[in-house]
Amino acid sequence: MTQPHTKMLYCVGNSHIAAVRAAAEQSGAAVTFVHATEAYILNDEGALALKPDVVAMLQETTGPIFSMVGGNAHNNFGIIQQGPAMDFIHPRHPHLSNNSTAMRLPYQLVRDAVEQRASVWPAVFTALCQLAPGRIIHFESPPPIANEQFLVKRLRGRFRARGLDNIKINPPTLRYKLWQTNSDIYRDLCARHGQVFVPSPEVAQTSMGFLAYSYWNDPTHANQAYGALVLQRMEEFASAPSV
Amino acid sequence: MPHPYRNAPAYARWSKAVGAPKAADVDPVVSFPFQIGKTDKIVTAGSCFAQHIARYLSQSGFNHFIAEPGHRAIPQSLREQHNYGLYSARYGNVYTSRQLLQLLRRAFGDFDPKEKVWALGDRFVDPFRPTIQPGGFRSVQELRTDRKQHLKAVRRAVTNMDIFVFTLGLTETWASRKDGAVYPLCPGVEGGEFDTSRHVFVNLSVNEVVDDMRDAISIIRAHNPNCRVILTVSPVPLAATALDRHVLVSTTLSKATLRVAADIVASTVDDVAYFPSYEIITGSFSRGAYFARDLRSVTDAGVDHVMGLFFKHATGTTLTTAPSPPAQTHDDAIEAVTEALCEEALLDT
Repeated sequence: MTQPHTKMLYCVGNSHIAAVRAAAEQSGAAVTFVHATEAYILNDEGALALKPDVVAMLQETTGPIFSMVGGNAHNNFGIIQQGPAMDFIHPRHPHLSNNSTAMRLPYQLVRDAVEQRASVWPAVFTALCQLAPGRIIHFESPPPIANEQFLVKRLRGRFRARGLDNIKINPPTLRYKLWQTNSDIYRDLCARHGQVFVPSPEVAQTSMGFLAYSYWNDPTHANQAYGALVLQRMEEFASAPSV
Repeated sequence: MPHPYRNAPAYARWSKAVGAPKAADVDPVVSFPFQIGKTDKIVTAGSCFAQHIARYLSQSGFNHFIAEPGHRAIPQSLREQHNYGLYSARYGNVYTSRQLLQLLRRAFGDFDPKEKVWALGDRFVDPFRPTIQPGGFRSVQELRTDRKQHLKAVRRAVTNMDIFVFTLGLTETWASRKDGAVYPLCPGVEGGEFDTSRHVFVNLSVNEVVDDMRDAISIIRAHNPNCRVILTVSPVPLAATALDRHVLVSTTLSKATLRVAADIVASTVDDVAYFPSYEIITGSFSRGAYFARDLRSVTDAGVDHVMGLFFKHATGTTLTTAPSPPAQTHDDAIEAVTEALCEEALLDT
């Protein structure tokens, strides 16, 4: 049985920390959340570095530092269909390639495009990895929601307001592979820097690997119940003898 | 009766046409047999110099027909890095007449090479466009899927084009001993393994280049009878020769072979024109100024000279640059909406 932890937890991340923060507020867990947008600076040469106060704070702890950095580049790139249908073969899920009429793209090209949409976050994550060798535990972002009707209903008005009518959601299988592609970026960074990559909890997934209904929030984020699952894993890591 | 040289026009006299003018004013074209209109679909292929022609056409408001542009959800810069839009389809450099003929035969189902995949570490490359996918394909399945889509795009390019611009680059190539398939790069350079029991060096002769080009144009016209063809010869020297002789000697023979073959094809096949980009770059009037410090790469000034004359004679226009494409508002909207969702997710707690 896991021993209850008493230490402060530190979590750096983007919008997916909201679900965990809500869970922590309800459970009373002591977690310091650092929003990634507030965690870095760019110097005059354009090089990225963590802010000195963030570095000082994270160096205070000898325990694990949790990351939920990035995590939405796949939605940014491919929740909405742009132009003709596209598809690609994901190296770890080759059986999921099923749209023979779509324009087929090489995985590396798709990954490069997702990484470009990931903006500075892989670099911020890399800076974290370099700050705390062997102590970063990165949580995969939640899987996509398969239900296209839900997504259209929640997104149509937003796009209409920006002059885009009749939006079309990309097929669930493609969005699943794009999510996995975004995860690959952080999974590979974890492997390169000797850090831990924690997959999205299976209990929050459907049999096909999509976000289960009871964990839906908005079209691209999971809810507090999902955050509680992640928080539980954080506490387990914090209570473990070593990372 | 005066001898033939007495009334020869100025362009026929070296002193007036080459020796006297400023280098930038030398114009060896004289006349061109047909004109390219703004709506004509132009397909480009060939050795690396052909990339310049493709790029200038794309930037100058002409219809550089791209049958395999990549997906518009992918930023243009990334598509270019992955060799989409470099030519009309994602075939990469087509260095030899044999490679062009082979591409057409493969696209229309007349040839299926036996050697289909090369390994490159844990990745895979297409032997017939080994550098097309940076780093290689992730799986054989991905390679095959991409190749099938590519050959379909080649068919689309061939059947729809009005003008085909092909730049002959090399005569030296490597081929399969099994079925004669030729490779743009020697096996082992970028994937695969060099094996003398499987691979053989070929140096195409004038007659072979002429036959290849006639056969290639026949295939094109079987599917697109009205297509006009423009041939050029790349001025870029060989990077290396596989023969045991000086690379300058091999370069001279290779370019001479291609130049003669291009002349024979242009003068014996209907609606085929030769454009003298080779002469413009290598002519002594420039005193070598059209080659960069490596004496191999062509300078921007040289390419400008070639393309200026190409536009003047083949299109009746002057060299211009088209305006930049409009911003991708669709992308911007998606990014704005998803980022708004992220901000709201944070605000909700």
